[in-house]
Amino acid sequence: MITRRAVLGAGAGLGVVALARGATRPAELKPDLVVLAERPFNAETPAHLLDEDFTSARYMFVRNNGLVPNAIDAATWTLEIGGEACLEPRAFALAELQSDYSHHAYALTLECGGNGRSEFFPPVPGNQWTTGAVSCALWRGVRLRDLLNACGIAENAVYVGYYGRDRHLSGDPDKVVISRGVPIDKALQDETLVAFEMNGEPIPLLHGGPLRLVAGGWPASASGKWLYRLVIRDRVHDGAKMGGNSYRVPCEPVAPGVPVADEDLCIIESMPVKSLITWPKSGARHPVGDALQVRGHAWAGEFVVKRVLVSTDFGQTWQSSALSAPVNRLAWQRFSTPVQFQQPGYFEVWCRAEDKLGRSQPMVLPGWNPKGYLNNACHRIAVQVA
Amino acid sequence: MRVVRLVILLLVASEAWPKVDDATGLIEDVGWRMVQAHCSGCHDLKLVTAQRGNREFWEQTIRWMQKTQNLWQLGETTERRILTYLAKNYAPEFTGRRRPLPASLRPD
Repeated sequence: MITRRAVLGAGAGLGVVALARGATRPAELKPDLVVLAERPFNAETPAHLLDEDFTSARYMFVRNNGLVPNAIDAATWTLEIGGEACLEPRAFALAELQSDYSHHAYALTLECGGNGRSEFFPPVPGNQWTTGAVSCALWRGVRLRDLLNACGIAENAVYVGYYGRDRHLSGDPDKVVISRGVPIDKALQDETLVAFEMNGEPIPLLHGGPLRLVAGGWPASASGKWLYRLVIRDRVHDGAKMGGNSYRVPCEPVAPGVPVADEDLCIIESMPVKSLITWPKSGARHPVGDALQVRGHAWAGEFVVKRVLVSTDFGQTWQSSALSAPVNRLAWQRFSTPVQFQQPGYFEVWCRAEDKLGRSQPMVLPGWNPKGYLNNACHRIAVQVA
Repeated sequence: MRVVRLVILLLVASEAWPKVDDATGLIEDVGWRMVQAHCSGCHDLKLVTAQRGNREFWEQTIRWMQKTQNLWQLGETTERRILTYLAKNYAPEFTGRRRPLPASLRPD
């Protein structure tokens, strides 16, 4: 049996990572996560395990539309760039990206568009994510912009789409699992990376290694894993899961449960403002009279979080918290504050972030949509004071 | 064609939806006449049909009525049938603004 250590060791030493049939199952690499599905593998992180400043591989949620590639060879990995709006299509070896282009590192928040889906009513289909499909790791790589410029971007460029090496659930090798991407403006941002390192190590296979796109602040499905091809498009990219009700919400709000035609759905871009209490763990017991130090993270897609408020009385009163500046744009921010309980009993601690534009988190569910995206309702934990 | 579709829809709907007794408002399922007999003597049956609860909820309601409201002893078999009827036909439905935290996230 191949252990986790052996898999990682082989990856680092030989440039080859294997997750072959019969080898370690993805679930075994994520013993602390809640597995929502084994095939395709999807797992989310309990809130208190997201307490690290930056999310380690061990605690990073996993979202797959298809199957993880069987074997990856970083030594021979190449990235092609083409498409109608690419002036000089070409290929880059991974080694060439690492040696010939400037490296940039950013802490980037990646949240699944469907994080929080489980709370929508009427219920919506899909993985029933609660709060744990979010991460902020340190990503290192080359700027997508530098690679696109090396190929030449035509005047009529609109979108950049990705293709990855994940395998379709049906087993059909010609079927594309997912091929999404970002508008050209997002592709040209400083922080949009073609990344080969996560937290100072080669990107683990489960997280898209050896090469992936990272477009922080947008639905994580825009950050294609196992990246081998990019296309500069002269139209909105029309790859798998760009259309229909995938990662799209009603352009005009609808009443809960109302069916929405595909043509009335709009692509999700920036994720909304949100926050998560990562300490203490929900269900904690706490002595009456002592201050409880509450802390967590807050993020706001493309934007900066201005403040985070905390309530211990179901939102009747709110207190401010100490909030750190992001280490860079698109990184989550740490908040922390002591709270006091005046009497014993059952309490909930709620947190509510507000972004620079004054947009805050709702207490109830935000706009219902057919696939249950963008639930940024305030996070709640339970505390028994005795 | 549209008329045919409407008729089919109505037929399916009438099968799927529970039949409600016009006079009492109770869902006509096994045990509904017992509920009518034992409950309507003291109160409007809307006090039954407007509530939603699991078996424990309904049993506690009966115990409270027996303790404080002079409800008589129902007898074991009758009580079991009434509880089965109520727990099945008036089970909890999510109508709140947001669900309580799940048990797994609450203190032990």
